[in-house]
Amino acid sequence: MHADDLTATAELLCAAGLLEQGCVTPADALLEPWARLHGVVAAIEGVAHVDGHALALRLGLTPRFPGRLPTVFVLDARLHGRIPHVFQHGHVCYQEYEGVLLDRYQPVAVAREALARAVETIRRGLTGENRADFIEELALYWPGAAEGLGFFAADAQIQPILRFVLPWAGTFAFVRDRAQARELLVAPMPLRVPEVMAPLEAWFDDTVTPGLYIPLEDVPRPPDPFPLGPWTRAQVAQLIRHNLSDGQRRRLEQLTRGLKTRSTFVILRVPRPRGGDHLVGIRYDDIRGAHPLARATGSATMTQFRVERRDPGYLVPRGGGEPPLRAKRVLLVGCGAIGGHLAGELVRCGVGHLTLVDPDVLRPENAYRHVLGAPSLFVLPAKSLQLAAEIQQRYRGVEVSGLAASIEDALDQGAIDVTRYDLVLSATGDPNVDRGLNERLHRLEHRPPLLFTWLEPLGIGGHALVVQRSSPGCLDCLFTPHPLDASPVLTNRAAFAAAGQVFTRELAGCGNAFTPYSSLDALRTAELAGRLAVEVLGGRLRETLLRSWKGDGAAFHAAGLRTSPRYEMEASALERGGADVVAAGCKVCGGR
Amino acid sequence: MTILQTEFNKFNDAIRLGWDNEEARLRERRDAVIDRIRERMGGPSFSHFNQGSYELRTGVKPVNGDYDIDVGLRFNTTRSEWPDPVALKQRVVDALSGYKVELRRPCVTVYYQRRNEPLYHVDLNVYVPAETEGMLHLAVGKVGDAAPLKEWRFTDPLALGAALDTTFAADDREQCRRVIRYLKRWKDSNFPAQGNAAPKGIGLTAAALQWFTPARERDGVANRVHHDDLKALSGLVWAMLAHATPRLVVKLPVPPHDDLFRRMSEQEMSIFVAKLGELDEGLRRALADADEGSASRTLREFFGEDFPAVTSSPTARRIGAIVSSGSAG
Ligand SMILES: [Zn+2]
Repeated sequence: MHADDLTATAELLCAAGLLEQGCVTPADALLEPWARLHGVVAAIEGVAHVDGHALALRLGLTPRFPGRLPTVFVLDARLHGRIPHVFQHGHVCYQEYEGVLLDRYQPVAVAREALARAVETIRRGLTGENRADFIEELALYWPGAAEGLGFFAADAQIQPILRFVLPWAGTFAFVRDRAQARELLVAPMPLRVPEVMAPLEAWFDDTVTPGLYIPLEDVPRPPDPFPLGPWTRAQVAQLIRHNLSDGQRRRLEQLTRGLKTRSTFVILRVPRPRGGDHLVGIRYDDIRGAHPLARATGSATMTQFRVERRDPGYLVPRGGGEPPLRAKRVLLVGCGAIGGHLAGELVRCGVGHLTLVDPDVLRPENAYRHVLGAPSLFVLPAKSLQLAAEIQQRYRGVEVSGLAASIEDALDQGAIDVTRYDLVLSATGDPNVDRGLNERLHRLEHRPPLLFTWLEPLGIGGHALVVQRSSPGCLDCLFTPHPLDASPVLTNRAAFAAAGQVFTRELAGCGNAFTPYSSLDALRTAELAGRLAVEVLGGRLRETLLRSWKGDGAAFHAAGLRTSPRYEMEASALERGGADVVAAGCKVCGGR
Repeated sequence: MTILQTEFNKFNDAIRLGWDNEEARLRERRDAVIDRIRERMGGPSFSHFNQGSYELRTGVKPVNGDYDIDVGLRFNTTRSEWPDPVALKQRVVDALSGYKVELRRPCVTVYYQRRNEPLYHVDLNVYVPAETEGMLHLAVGKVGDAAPLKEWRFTDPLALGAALDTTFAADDREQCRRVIRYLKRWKDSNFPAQGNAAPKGIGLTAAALQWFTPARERDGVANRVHHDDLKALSGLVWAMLAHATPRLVVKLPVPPHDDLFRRMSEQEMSIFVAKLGELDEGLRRALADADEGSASRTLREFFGEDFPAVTSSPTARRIGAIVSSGSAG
């Protein structure tokens, strides 16, 4: 909305009686910092009655109003920083922007409701009801700038951690130990030769500073009164001491003994009342005497700072992933179009350990359907190794390893012990490899769930089958004709393509046969398999189940190919999946 | 537990009267006969339709090589104009002079012979419309019959086909047809062709219509239904036996509601029921047999050489060990 229109809207809001003695804020006041900071170009001010107090408030409009919420300010400076959600200039944070839908055709109603919410936030502050919100929003109230990236796992134990300077980022990194620091330093390096490693190690030694990670227990009580601006050393020490168990306090005493450096730091984990936690930092410089958190006296300057979290324990739930999957180990066989997508998605879902097995190198002709794109012109490592390196570089704290071998060889040579995995996922798309794997693993008494995924040509569909010990059926059941089938042929019963057709095309003669499908088909199949994998790993699905997605078949039929009776089934039923996979007479599981 | 569905399918292919050589020949013969009647008879006019196993598509190739086709001639006249049904049949016979024709009690039969072997015959059933819409009167009686034996019998020659269509859904109907063919072939292989010793094909068909239950299983993955003919046949034979108390009575489901086995004597009936009992026992034995080879030999005892003998294991019989796969990853 144009500024003139916004002023007219402001007048409308005054006339609507949103605030008592309401009037439009004079134009010169809109040049002050509060207005510029929040992009306010028109405002009204007046009085609202909150819990028996008459409070002077201001309601500011930005040019995006009513597509954006108005901003509300408490004019009484004595309240600034004294009650939760009231910040500099009295700005009231009454509503997260995310998750609201605004009636863009009713500006007056939007302003009225926004004001009511702001007033309710202030009322809860005045009565002390939302005092815990200081802790809930601690990272917001914590003064100081963001000083670095936290990579260490924020767990329950007080422990020494390290800070060093990330050379190319020009920022601090907080890490568990030297090994984690080395991992970060070498990640972007194409070659890990001594000539490269030595200067990095030296750099680390030059910039490293020891510090402490201190997780507070339960939800701490906020200091009373809550500090406005920077905290004092005593306030920080109190927050820490008052919120540790006896055992933790003893451990802290041990760890603060005999400090040898002039500078150190502490990263605090502060649990939030509504779940989750904050990491906030305190830096101590010019230390004279003992550790500033030790009982002995001494002097030091203290600076508060914020930490940008990069630890998976924080990032994974943010991404919608499942924290319990962190401990899960997945063996992914086949790093082609489906496997490539799957590897990344499994990590983003929270899977903490991934082993990739594929002997093949990325071929240029598959660049437009592989997650890695075109192969490098220089080195041609196997897809498994390249993919593992890519994922490892992007997702610290996840264990990804690659093995450039066929799964048969890896098993024969004992390079892989499948019983160490929580899920074996095969995305080779090669029914012969998959059936071999199925048979081989079926013999094991303690085999993990087995998930096979594959797609069919020309966008007609894709499948994911999970085989679990608690219910009958296996992959070979799909290749076992029904005993009553009067004309049994060798085919996959799950196929959408009718049996007895040829699907591969050749780009350039012998050895270049390929099955036509697009990256989107692979992505959709990977999604189907990924969701199934997450359900299995999360323990929510314990039976053998076949799920399929079905495409529109236009390209398939246009190519003169025929579909199977299975293709006639409802798409929703196919995606929901069927547990009736088992076939009497299956040579692997015996139909049991 | 044997299934032998592949063998039953081959058996069915071997015995069914299909749209191939014999049937084409039959249709040629039929058309020639009808054209001749139209040319020579000089009224009343008529329309023709297929009936019997040809119309029901339950026909089997005859063991003795005598193929037949049932044709209905629906004359545009009335009973009152032709009080003597044999007179109208005689007009048909007269029109076919030069053919080997016989005026039999239920129909007029035209024979085609080669070296004195009956090869084909066409049964012409002579009808006039009844007062009830869709119903007909069949001309019954032969020359020299006493008046009570000559009649215009109220009937619906297409009722069995209509009943088959309405009783079973498409695939089940096909299984029913196959099972009828198996029974007819069993009849042809185990009873003399002459006289009333053999149960009539139409009687077996009507019995199936009454007691057949489809035997099938659904493959939920492939979204296909597979039929189990051995089980279905065994079930039908068992049901027929259960209703033989002691005579097996199977009535036409439409007027005149005749018992289709009424012409069998007590002795003929008891032989029929005894053989039915043997068949029932044999089918059960085959069903329970773990060895497909010996199960197929059991079935060949009842159905003859056209039922294939299983010599190797069923998997070895499966063709196509290298097939194209559309799977990719
Ligand atoms: Zn199986």
